[in-house]
Amino acid sequence: MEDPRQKLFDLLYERYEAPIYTYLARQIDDYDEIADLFQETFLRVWRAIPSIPEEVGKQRAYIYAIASNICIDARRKKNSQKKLLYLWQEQQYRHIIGSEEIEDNLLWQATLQTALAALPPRFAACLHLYCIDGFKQREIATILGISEKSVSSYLSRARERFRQVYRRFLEESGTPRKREATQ
Amino acid sequence: MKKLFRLRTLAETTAIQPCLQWREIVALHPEDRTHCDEKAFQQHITGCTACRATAHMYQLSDQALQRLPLQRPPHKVRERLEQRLEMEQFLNREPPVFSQQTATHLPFLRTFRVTSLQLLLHALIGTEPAHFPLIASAIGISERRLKHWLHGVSEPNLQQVSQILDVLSEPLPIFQELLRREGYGGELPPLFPRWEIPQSIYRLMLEKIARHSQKEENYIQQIITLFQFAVPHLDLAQHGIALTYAQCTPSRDQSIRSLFIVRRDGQFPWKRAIDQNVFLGLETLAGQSVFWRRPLVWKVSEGYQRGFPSWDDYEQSAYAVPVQRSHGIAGILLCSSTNAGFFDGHHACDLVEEYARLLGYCIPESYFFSAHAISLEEMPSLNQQRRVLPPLFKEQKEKGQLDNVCSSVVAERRIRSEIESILLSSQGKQNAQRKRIESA
Repeated sequence: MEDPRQKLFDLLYERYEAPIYTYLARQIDDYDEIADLFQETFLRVWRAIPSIPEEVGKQRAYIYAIASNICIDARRKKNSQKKLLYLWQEQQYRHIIGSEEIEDNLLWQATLQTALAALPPRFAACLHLYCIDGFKQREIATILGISEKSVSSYLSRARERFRQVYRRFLEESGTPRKREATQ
Repeated sequence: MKKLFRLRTLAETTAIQPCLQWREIVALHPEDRTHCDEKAFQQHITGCTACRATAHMYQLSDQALQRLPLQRPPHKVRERLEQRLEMEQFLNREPPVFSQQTATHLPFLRTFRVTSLQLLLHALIGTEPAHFPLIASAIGISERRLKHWLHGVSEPNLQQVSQILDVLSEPLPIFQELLRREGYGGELPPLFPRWEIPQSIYRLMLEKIARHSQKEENYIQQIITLFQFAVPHLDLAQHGIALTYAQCTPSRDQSIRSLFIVRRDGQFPWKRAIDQNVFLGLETLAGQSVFWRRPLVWKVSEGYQRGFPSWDDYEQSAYAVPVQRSHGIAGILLCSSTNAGFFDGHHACDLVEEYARLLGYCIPESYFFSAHAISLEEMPSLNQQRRVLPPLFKEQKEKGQLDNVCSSVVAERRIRSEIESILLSSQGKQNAQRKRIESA
C-alpha cells in the first residue's frame, strides 16, 4: 500500500515542479544554485507535508512561500545582482536557433529574464508572483509575510525598476534596435 | 516586428512617470483595486495621459512576462532530490527498540537509542577526538567537515555514510547488524566485512606508508595507527583482545637472540599501550613462532602447559604470526584473547595473518633479518624484567646521551642490545645455578 505522505508529495511535485523551477530560474543566474534551491524547496515541502493545507489554492501559496523564502535568502547571501548571460537562454533553445524570428524571440525572452533577475530579491519575487504566477495582492502578502500595503508599494517600485533595468539592458545589447535599423 | 515594437514601446515609455498619488494604484490589476479606487482611477486617467500610458505599458509588460516559457528541472535534479528524500526518511524514522536479548548481550546498548544520524555519529566517534584526523583522512574529507557532521551543521550523504561504516570498525558493525535486524537499516550499505580488512584501512595505511617511506622512525606511528583499527575490528564482540608487535633485536654480532615489544594495544580487560619495553625469548609463543617461522596458536582449553610467560590473568588463547618477507623476518604479531575458542575457526586466524601482512608493509627494509641470524635464547620472566628494566633503560639512555655520536634510532638499538646482553647473562647465571641445584 502506498504511503499517503509519499502520494501527496508526488502529486505536489508533479503539479509544481515546472512553476517552482521557473520561478527560481528567473531570479537566480546559476544553474547549480537553481538546482540546489529547487531541491531545498521540495525537501522543505516534504518536511511540511503534515501541515500543508488541503485546499489547492492554499497549497500553491504555501509552496510558493517556501520557494520565495529560500530564493530571497539565497539572493541576499549572494548580495549581488548579476546579469544573466544570453547564453543561458541560448543553451535552452540551442536546437531551434537558426531562424531569425526565433532568435528575436530568444533575445526578447532573455532580455526580459535578465531584467527580472536584476531586480532586488523582494521586488523580483513580488513582480513574478503578481504578473506571471497570477497571485492576488493578499496572497502575495501571505506568501512573503508582509502587509498588503507593502505588496502594492513593492509592486509599483518593482515595475518601475523593471522598466529601467529592462531599458538599460536593451541599450547595452542594442541588438533589436540595430536589427530594426537594418530592416 | 510586433515583438520588436513591444520591446521598443516598453523601453521608450520609461521616461513617462505616473502621478505620485496614483503610482501604487496603477501598478495593481483592476480586480485588486477597491471599488472606490477603481472608480477614482478611471476618472483620473481620462484626463492624465502619463497615468493612462503607464497603465497600458504595465499591461504590455505583464503580457510579455506571461509569455516567458515554463522551465523544467533537469532529470539529475529529480534523482538528487530522491536521494536526499531517502536520507531524510532515514534520519526521521522512529528510533529502534533493541530486543531484551540484544541489550543483555551488548550492555552498552541499554542506554543507547538511535534518534538521528547525528546521535549515531556522536555515539560512535564523538567520544574519541583523537580519532577525528584518522577517520577524516580515511573517508577523504577534512576534519572540520567531520565535526560539522557531529554538530549537525551538515549531514553526510549516503555514500559518505557508507564510507563511515567502512572505516569505523568499532562498534559499528554491531550497530549495523542490530539496526538491520530491527528494521532500521534498509538503506544502509552491505554489512561490514567481518573477517576482512576494509579497503579504506588498506588505502589509508598504504597512503601513510608511501608518504613516510623516507623516514624509518615513522614506522612505529604507522603500527599505532594500524592497531587503532585492528584491535576493535578483531574484538567486535568486546570480549577482550590485545595485539602485540615484537620486533627482532639485533645484538652486537647481528644475531637475533630475543624479540623486543615495541607496541602493545588492548581492549578491556587489557589496557591500552601496556607492557612495552619487554624482551621475549625462545620460551614464549612469539619466540617459538619466529623460531619455526610459521604461525602458532595456543589455547588454555587444550590443557597445554604455558610455553610462554603469562601477561595477565585474562589471556585464554593466543595466535602468533611472524611478520616476514621473502628474504627475512622482522618480528611477530601476537593476538591474545580472553575467549578460549577465539582462534578455533580459520576466520580469526586469517584476519590476524592479514593484519600481519599489512603490518609488514609498514616496517622498513632494514628491520628484516635473515633466518640464519635468528638464534633466540631464553629470557628472564616478565615479572623480573618489569622490575629491572626501567632503571636499566634510564641508566643506558643517560650513557647514550653522554656519547652523543649517533642517531636516535642507532642509539636506541644499542641500548636495547646492551640491556639484552645484561638480561641474557643474568638468565644464564640463573640457569647455571638451577642446574647446579638440580645436579646436587
